[in-house]
Amino acid sequence: MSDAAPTPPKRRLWIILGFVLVAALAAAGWMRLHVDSSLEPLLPEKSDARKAVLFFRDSSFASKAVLWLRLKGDAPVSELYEAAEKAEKQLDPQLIKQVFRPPQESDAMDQAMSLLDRAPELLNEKDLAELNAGLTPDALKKRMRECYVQLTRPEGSFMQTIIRKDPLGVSARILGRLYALTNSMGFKVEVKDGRLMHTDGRQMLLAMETSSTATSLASSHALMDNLNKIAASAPPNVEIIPICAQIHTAQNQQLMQRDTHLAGTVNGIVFLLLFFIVSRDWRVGAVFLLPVISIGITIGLCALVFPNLSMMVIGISLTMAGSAVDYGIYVYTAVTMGKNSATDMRRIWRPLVISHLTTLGVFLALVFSAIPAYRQLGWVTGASLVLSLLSAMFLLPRLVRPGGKILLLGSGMPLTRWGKLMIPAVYIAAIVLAVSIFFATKTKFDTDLSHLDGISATVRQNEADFQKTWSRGDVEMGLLVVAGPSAEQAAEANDAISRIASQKFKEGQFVSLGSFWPSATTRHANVARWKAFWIPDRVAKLRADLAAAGEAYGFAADAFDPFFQIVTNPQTDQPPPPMLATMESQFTAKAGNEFQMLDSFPDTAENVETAQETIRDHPEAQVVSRRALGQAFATAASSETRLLVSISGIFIALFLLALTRSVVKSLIIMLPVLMGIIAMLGMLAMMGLSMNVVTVVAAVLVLALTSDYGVFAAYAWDNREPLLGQGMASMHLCALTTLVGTGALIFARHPALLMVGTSLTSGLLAGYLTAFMVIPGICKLIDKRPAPAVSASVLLGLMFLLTGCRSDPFQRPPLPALHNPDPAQIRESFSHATPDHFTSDDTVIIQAPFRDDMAVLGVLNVDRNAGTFELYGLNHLGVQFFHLGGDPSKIEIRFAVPPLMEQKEVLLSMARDTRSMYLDLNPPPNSNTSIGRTEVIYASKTADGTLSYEFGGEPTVLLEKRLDSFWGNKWRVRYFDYRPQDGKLFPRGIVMDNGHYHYRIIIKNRDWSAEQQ
Amino acid sequence: MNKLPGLVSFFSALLVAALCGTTRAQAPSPATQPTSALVQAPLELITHVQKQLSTVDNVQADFVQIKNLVVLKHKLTIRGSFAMQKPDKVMWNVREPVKYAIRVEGEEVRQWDEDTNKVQIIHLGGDPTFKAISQQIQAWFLGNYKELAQSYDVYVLGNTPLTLRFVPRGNTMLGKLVSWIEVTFGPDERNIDKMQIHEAAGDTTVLNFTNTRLNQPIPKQTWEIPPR
Repeated sequence: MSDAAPTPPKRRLWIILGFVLVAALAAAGWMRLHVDSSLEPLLPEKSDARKAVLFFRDSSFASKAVLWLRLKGDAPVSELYEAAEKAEKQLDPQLIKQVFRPPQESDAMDQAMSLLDRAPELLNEKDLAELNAGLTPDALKKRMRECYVQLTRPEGSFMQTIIRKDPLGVSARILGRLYALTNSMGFKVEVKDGRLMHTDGRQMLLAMETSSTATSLASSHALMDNLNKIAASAPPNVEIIPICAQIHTAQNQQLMQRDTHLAGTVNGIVFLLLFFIVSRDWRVGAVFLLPVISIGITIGLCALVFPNLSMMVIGISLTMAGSAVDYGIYVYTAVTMGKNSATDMRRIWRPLVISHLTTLGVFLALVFSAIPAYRQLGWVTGASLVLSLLSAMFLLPRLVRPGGKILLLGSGMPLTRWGKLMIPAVYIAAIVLAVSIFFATKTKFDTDLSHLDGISATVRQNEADFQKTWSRGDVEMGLLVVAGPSAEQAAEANDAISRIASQKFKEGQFVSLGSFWPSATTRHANVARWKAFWIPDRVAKLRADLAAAGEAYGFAADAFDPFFQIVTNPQTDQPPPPMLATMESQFTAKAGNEFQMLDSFPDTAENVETAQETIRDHPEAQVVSRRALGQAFATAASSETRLLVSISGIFIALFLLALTRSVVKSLIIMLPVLMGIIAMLGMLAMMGLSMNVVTVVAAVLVLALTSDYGVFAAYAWDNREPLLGQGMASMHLCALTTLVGTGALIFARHPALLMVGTSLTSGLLAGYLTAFMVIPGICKLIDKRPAPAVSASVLLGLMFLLTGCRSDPFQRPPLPALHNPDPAQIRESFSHATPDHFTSDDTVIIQAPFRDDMAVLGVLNVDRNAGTFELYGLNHLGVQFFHLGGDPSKIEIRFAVPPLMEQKEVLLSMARDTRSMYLDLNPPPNSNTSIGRTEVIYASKTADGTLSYEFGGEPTVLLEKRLDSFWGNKWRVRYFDYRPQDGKLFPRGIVMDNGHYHYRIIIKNRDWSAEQQ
Repeated sequence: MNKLPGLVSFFSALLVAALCGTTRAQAPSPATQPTSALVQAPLELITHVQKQLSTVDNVQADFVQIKNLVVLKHKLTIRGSFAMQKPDKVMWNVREPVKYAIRVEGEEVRQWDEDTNKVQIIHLGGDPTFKAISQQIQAWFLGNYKELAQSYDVYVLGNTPLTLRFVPRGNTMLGKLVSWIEVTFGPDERNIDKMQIHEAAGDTTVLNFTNTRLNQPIPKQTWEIPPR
């Protein structure tokens, strides 16, 4: 902590050396820093989400783009073709690798028919088995009838070629598979004049493979500009619409840039206003600069460990500067208001550290995440928060001028009065909380990432129109991607998976290029099988049987010669049909040196499950679909959320309990967090929005920031500050500076940023209002006598437990600053000022939860030298209720009326409390001392916990004595209104709060007299 | 084991573009076509035919289709009837040598045959085969001959009755399948009396339409599937 005294030169040298070393290391880190703007670090390791996104990043599949050309009015189709030719010439060859050209339909027909000649290669084992089953005379007779009927149909003339090559009706399934493949593209495309035309003949597509992927910002922008330019220069009768994923990337980036500029401008203006209105002290700049410098140093240091730092990590780290600024504000207000920065820092270190640790707990939890970027975020932000705190505690006090002025700081009504006024707010908050919980339970997790897509309305409409115009159905297609180091190996792996898939998927749901054109290995195996099957005897028998079966319908003797030509002379190792090259552009892809086969299926829940089951034991395969990706993100987000909440919850609980030593105070501090999170979820539900990956991060930030408000408010109450006292004013400033930033995002156009703005603003606002209004109200309520009606409510049930937050029946005037206090001297003086042996007459009021107050007349006799005491409790008629007593070795109930004896443990506790109140009033000589501006605290460890004595005032007397354990105050006694009598000082009011039984003893002294020794 | 839908769909979808589409004029007619002795149909004549056909809202007729196919030892004679109602309703009913019927109405196709005695319902969007058939029939009987003239060279073979020969243009799929199509119109050029398709492989199909009724109420049972 800062010290008012100058730092010794040697120590200063070490500090400077240390700083130079850290700065040098940070600079070295910055030199090797590489900012990773890709999505990769954001994806959980070994997850399906990661696989899917990396597929889109790396695969040539994602580099496709389309120009959709459509005729306006009655313009002739020739204009469409001319526009397409012109557009093609305008394509930037740096960006467009190739334009896909389907074969001429005349060639396609030839190629399709020639596929029947390749039946030996393309028919698999199952096909051959079915073919074998069709060789019986009855089956052949039936088949000849079918062929004859086909010839009588309108399309009959065109069927002849096929029937001649495939009298058994098996080879034609090759064409069926080819058709299924073209259908699986999911578009109403017809090939006309070597163009991809719509069935209406007035629209066409220019499909292209680009050299740009959707994950590359620069090339996405370049491609979007090129395509937009082509669209803008379309002829008057033709409309050209670009469709590609890269437009999404470019537009999202543009929109985010615009929104962040807006938010940055608003933030800047508000900070300037705050500067001029609130402080006008240039030193306030240090409050905002120190966290930024800390983050700069941390990023440099972390770059030594993580050379590839995620852009998101840097972005959120900078956002978290908002939380780190809170420390600075708290220190700035404390030091500015005070006269001695060392004393001020001693006074505020505890809330400051609590505020820090609650935030740090969240980011420490991130270190355990499966997401690399989250781990980086945990380290970077955690370290920067620590640095920010250290700079706020040790550096900032040296920069800030004590005794300065901050607008309105220190003014306003006392918090106790404010708390009274805010009691209704507690009930309102309880109602709001209930309503928010109701809505929050309705919040769902949205797995559809397209809802975070910031494309323009025009692009969105274009894509909807495109889907409506060209898509065959409403269901999108999913992909099953099979990879291999070579095209053939990928095809072989794909054959294996296709065989499994064909058994698991419903018929017609799974389409694979392999089902039509399998790998060379499979084709060779098919030919070998074919040859083995068609032994000469079988061929001769079929020829005879077929002639016999066809005779009834007049089939010519040579009608099926083309088929027998195929049977006896199967083709092997012929070049693939040219159409395959076109097909491969749709059903294969490449990622680096890896070859990929792309199988497709309708993207339904059932099919996604089947696909995932199919590839369970095939690490070379993955499922890529909108639904699967959404599920993968949801799974990842869900497991991450569980992990983060659990670990950060444990951290926060441990930190809070360790520092506050009070469960109750910890709960109060976390109240704004609870309200903030619940209100955030409720607001999302009320606005019809859902939780998603963005709001999970927002929730983490709400948790981190609102806990600060709780700390500041709780300690402001404890210190009996005015409404705009140092703690509360710090909270107002922290909330204002943060809310302005998040509030600006409410006007964001990008849905993800809008979501962030809405989530953060609602959460932070609720947290801030809770800290500002509800915490004082609750503290005040706890102070009031519990009424049965009130005690019925759950909220007040909690409040009755909050003994650490009760206000006092006695008022203590503001404590004067101590001038060079000497702890030993204070002990000594106080020891002399207190009577050793005395008798006092008191009114003793006992308050307990759920019970009426009990007032008795107390007669107390204390001998501090002997360590003995006796307390008589009498009613107003002088009838004795109880008689308690004790000495250094024991305490006992010497008498109690029967009803009170039923509460023997409570009476014994009261006896112990009496001893704590009146005996051992001087701290042990070996106590640790802490000197504040207005108080001196002595603390010593005992077997039961930490025993603390707080001295202050003029003359300096014992103000408070308490025993703290891990779970909070065991007991706390405060002394008020010391009055001199016979050269001694005696408190006129004493309040004892018992943390075990949650009762309070109030002693109002009426008279006392010293006993002569 | 009827695998035809997939098979037919594939090339019928391609075929329909060639039959009905409006393609650009490309290469000149194949040299193999006997065009030198024929007279090119003037645009006025085509406009006239189209104008006459445009007065037709519905057609009913019987047909006899004679196919000379290399796969069969004999000529295949098919008898039946057909009906067509603008804008998109077509019935093709085969009575001999097998019973078969197909009805296209908007996007829905129903077909029936006596062997299976089942009505199969298909949507045009899901199978372009029947769309192609429907479009072909409508193109020839009610279609836009001006557009057809962009895909074919049209020659006049005779004026009484008017007989036109349509020779597919360019290296199209249709050109590979069909050498030419001859259409003989009725007396007032409002209907087709005869249609001959000469395939490139040498097969021929002749369709003779009789008992043609234009713009007369079509009995409800005409559209029934299975047919009565």
